[in-house]
Amino acid sequence: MLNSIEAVQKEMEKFQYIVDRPLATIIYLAISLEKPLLLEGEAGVGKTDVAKVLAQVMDTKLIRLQCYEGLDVNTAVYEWNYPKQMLRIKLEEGKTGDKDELEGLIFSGRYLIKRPLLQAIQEDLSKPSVLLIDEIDRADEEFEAFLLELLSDFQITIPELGTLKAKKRPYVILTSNRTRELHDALKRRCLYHWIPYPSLEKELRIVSVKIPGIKGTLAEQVCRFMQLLREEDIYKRPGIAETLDWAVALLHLDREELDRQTVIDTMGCILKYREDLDKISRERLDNLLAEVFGEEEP
Amino acid sequence: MLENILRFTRELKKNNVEITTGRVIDTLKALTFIDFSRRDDFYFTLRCNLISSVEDYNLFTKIYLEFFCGRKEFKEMEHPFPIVVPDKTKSVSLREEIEKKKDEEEDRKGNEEKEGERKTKIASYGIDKVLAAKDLTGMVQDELPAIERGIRKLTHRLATRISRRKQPFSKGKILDVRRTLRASLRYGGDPVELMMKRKKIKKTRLVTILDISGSMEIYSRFFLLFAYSLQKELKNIETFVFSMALTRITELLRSKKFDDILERLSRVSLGWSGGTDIGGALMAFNHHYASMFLRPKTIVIIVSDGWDRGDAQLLDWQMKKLKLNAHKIIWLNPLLGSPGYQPICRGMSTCIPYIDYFLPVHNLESLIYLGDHIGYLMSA
Repeated sequence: MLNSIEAVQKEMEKFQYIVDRPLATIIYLAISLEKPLLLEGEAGVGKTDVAKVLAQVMDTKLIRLQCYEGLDVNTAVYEWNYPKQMLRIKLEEGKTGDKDELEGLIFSGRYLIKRPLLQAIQEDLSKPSVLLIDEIDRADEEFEAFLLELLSDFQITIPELGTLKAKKRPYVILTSNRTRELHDALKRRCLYHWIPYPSLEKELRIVSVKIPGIKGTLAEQVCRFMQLLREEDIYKRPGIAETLDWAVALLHLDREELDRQTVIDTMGCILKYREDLDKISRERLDNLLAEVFGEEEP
Repeated sequence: MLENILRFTRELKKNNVEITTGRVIDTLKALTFIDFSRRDDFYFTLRCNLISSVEDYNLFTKIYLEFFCGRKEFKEMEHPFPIVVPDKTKSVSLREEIEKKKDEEEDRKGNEEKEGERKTKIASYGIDKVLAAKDLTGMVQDELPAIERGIRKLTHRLATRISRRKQPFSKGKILDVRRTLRASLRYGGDPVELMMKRKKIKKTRLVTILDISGSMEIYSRFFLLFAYSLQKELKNIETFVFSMALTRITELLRSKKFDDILERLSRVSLGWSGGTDIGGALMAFNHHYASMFLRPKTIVIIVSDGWDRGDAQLLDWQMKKLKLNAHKIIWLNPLLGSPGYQPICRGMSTCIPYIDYFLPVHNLESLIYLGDHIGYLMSA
């Protein structure tokens, strides 16, 4: 079904995700080559959504592993259900029985808690699942090394059970916010793409598609404002997610156009740091609005 | 076609882009899936297979344009960063100023007696004391190896001095439930043996924030070597660089040879638009990294000449915040090497109240002196 770049674009758009040709190319190649995809970009540009939408398009399960510092193998792969095991042992206490048999019993599949990575390997669906490893830059080096092994062989060794091999290799998508450099070896395993902030036209399209009720004028003003805001010297530039949040908020407030007071009241939707809020509302707001409305700058 | 791709990748390799055979094979495989008469598909297919860092996009595009088509034919493509040319004009005039002051300094020092202690210390590094006192901007090509050797020796000694101190071992106070239950199986489920969690002490001890903007160019190169060597010797050290934006380079310093690191840094468009924004860089550090890396005993070293184009109020706030969380702040300013320098420029004067140690960093001698301070602070 996803047998061409155009097909990727068309299918993803059915789920309201606008893909430009570069990104569609990479997604198409990742699927065709069965290679993991590494998406980098600023926060809020839609990296995570690629995986979500792809799973919808392919009508398959999305398995998500959210990375953070300190993420270890237990939380990511598997853990034994100790309370359940203990209970079983207690139940068996009175009976005479083979200790080895008991051990074999409690270290079986029923007592295993499967976390995302193991789930991805063990999924027995007709189609391969989509494995999203989100914000890999937040995990540490140790975890990266482990992941590298996993992505190479797609198997996991559990001492008590043996080696479990993937029945169907999932489609793997990694995202990173680029707070640090990832290991070369990991990067080499993947197809890489940087997702930039969208152009005005693209952002407008996204807003129109995702928020069908919005008036054209408002949508255009919102997008122009956001495009200009991203050029400003602020700490945290807002992403598309913020644009959409803001647009929805304005819609709820029954606004059909932007005006100074509304922008001040709702700026918390798009700027999340006090320094940025202060800077923009103090100094830059009037200039920005003037540009948005196409007036001459004083 | 195959030959073309191979030649293209060789061209990339010449420009220090890492290309492995695996990548080349994957690229060729990928090309079988697309219609490579389409220019844009061809470009993006090559790029996603051969390049793994957005910082290399500009370079890749440049080489691609030169190799595959006449520039005029090529349609405009979306780039995340425009190709930036570093603005060196400011640094030139400042360098002249420093040169002048350096000459004056040389004359002055010629007539001065050095402290006896300092003399022996420098001698113990096996470096000619004149070379150790020479300002780094005045270095001639064949003096560089000696300086670099000196820096490596210095960091090695420093590291030995720091790690010899005994680390307290904290017996875990938190129950490791997993291991306890596991052990209890031996006793039929009774937790007879209690397994404790050993606390993973991952405290960062030293954070360096280095200004690599135009005016700091020569000094930052040597300081980077210092940071690079130190990182090789000691664990739990973090290094950042900035001119307009802050970037963490701890991992970079670990993974490459030093010359590759310099190469890579010079290619990254960290905002070589001729400005320094210390306040912005510190704000980025405070927001993003402070909670991760600043522990009660962490020392922060800021290396900058204090020439700042950013908001002074912001700088003040951020220094205040930093001071709250760091144990000690050491500020290294190469201009302190010039006699008669007064920190009256707005950036530097804003920061002075928050600094614990204000030291020079303009020659090897000052680095040795710095090593003493670090050694003392980290052993105490």
